[in-house]
Amino acid sequence: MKFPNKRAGVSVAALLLSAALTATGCAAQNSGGGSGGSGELKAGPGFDAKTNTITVGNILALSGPIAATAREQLAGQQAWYDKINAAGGIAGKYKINLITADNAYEAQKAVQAYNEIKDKVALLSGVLGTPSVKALIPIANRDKMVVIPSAQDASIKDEPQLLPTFSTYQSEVANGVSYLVNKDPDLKKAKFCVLGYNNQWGEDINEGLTYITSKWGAKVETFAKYGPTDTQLTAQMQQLKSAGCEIIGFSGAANNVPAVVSAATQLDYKPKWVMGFMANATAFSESPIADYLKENMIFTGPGGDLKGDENQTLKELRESKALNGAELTVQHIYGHIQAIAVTTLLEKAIQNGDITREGLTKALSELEKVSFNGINGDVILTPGNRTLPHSTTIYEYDKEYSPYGLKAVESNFTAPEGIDPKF
Amino acid sequence: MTENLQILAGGISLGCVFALLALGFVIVSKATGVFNLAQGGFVVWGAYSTYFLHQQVGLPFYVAAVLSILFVALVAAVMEAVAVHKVASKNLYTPILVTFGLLMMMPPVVSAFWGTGQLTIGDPWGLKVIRIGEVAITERNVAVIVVTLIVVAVFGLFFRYTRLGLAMQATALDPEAALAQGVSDKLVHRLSWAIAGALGAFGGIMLATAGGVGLGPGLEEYALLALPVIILGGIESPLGAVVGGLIVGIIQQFAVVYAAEDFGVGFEEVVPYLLMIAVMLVRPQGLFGTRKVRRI
Repeated sequence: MKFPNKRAGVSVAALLLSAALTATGCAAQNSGGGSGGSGELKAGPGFDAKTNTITVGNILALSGPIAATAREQLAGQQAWYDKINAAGGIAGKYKINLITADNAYEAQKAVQAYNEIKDKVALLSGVLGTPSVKALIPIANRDKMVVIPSAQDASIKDEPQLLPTFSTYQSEVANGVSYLVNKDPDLKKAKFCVLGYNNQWGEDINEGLTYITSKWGAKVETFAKYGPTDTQLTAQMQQLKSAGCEIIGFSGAANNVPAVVSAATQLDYKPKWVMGFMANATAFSESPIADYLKENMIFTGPGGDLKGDENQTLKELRESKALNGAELTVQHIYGHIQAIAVTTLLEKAIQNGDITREGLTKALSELEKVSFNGINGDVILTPGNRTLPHSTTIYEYDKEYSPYGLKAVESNFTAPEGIDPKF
Repeated sequence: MTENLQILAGGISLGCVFALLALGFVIVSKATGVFNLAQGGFVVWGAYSTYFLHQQVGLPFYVAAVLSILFVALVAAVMEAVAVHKVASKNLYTPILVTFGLLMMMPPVVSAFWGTGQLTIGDPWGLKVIRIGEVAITERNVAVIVVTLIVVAVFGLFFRYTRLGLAMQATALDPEAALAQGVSDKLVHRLSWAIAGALGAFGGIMLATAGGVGLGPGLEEYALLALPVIILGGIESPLGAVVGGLIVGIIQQFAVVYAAEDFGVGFEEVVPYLLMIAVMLVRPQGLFGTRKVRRI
């Protein structure tokens, strides 16, 4: 028996389903946790009194285009927690357990993922993506959930339930461009432009570039926008080339870079690009785009010399089991930084004798500063006027550093022109 | 003038990718009446199996691509036989949800085998560029355009002049009458899925060749970009898929440069949907769709 009017309804069904597809799927990996109390410590969700284990959660893109990035962050976090646990735990007693839920880098899925793990965790050790973080802010405020954002948008830095740890996108691009201009002062006369996502991330890059170029009387000439899933960027590249852009601030992830290089090569266009570290991928070193990266791109991010032994924390991270033999990347460092912030906060809360949601929120309000063993600048937590790190490590692309390819050429660089305090 | 030609070339290439992705949906819809959401999974499998055969087994790229296309076609036909055929005529929604389930299953399996990082597929085009006068176009884009034209021509001839093509159309129009004439609906359904699988696989291979290193998680999402193209062109019209794809691709590329800022950030992303809605208001069946007539 055929369904009557079946084909006539298929168009409608397709439309309905395309809408429904945006509201599906999230997977949590639960490795225990629970709630309870102990004689010494006032505790809430995420604390297992039997094992003295504190469970913290991540909401990361375990699936989707930037899953590899997210998994590296996760490994970086796990490496720090492994180190703390191996030393007996926080305060020599409390071990850290990490669970993760998938947001597929989508804000609506982040809320689903949050609901899935919120009762199993003391706090969120990472939430990936500015839209996801912003979607969770009102919920976190309501639930008194402390969140360490995997996002670098300046507008979230003073949110009371957030513990931001990184320099902002604005600072990163400002430092990157300042580095180029200070190396070659003639570049002050260059035309500066942005190729960025058509979302807040792109706007952040535009804001940072507008700020730093104003220091030498220049401005952002063109802001070409694209979507995260765009594979054909010829029009955007033509826009930039026609405007005569010579230095371009870029917002985008590693999956976008091949299309950028392909379009630029097609138009024989070789400006200088300033990119965040998340735009690099290990696979690039063996790909046709490697030479273009080397000639035309610099990358910004936390960290330092990825292969050197000067920084003990980087050395230990590079050798940690959590990396499973993978080469150290800035994404690993990014996760490591988040985990350091988590344990710093937990230490404070344990000192206070209270790791309930309210206790952790109180500890966050009392915390003055978080330091990161030289792999990231300090975060100063003055209530209502926090200061995020203004320094950036500058990386060049170097095949000799392959497969990851990023060679630190300037660690903890801060633009001599200064960075806007609001960044 | 040159700049506009350059943008047009980019739009045609993008439109051809849309067309390839849309054709897979259209073929199955036309022949079986099922809206097959598993198409995104075929995109993923085509790309990763080519990577496996070329980069890990060591076969030449073109051999790997052809074998992958055949493999995905076979997988698609098996899926139809095992999971879809029995529910294909149940009602409107059950087969769609079954194909959605198949879509959900495929990417995690791929991630389990090949991880979640960006991978280099190792295509022969890389970043090579061909210049036609003042206009530059990548060899990879030329390949997309040429193959799309060949595929469209082959489909046109297949549906018009072959017994099987006519049988597929007959089954789509009236399954009972076709069955009475000795046309096997199983064969038609499986063949349409195999063709859709092959198209999806080819689309996936081409998507993964962006800059030579475009293979990574999330490829299945690109198939969904074809949805407005399908509705615009007509959900059962192969010609509509191609024309719709080209219209959307070209207009989207020009919108990037010429759409006024006043329309809002990311307006070019909305253009396909605006076009789709505008066409549906005038022609609900799409540009090349057939209006359904019901006897009451």
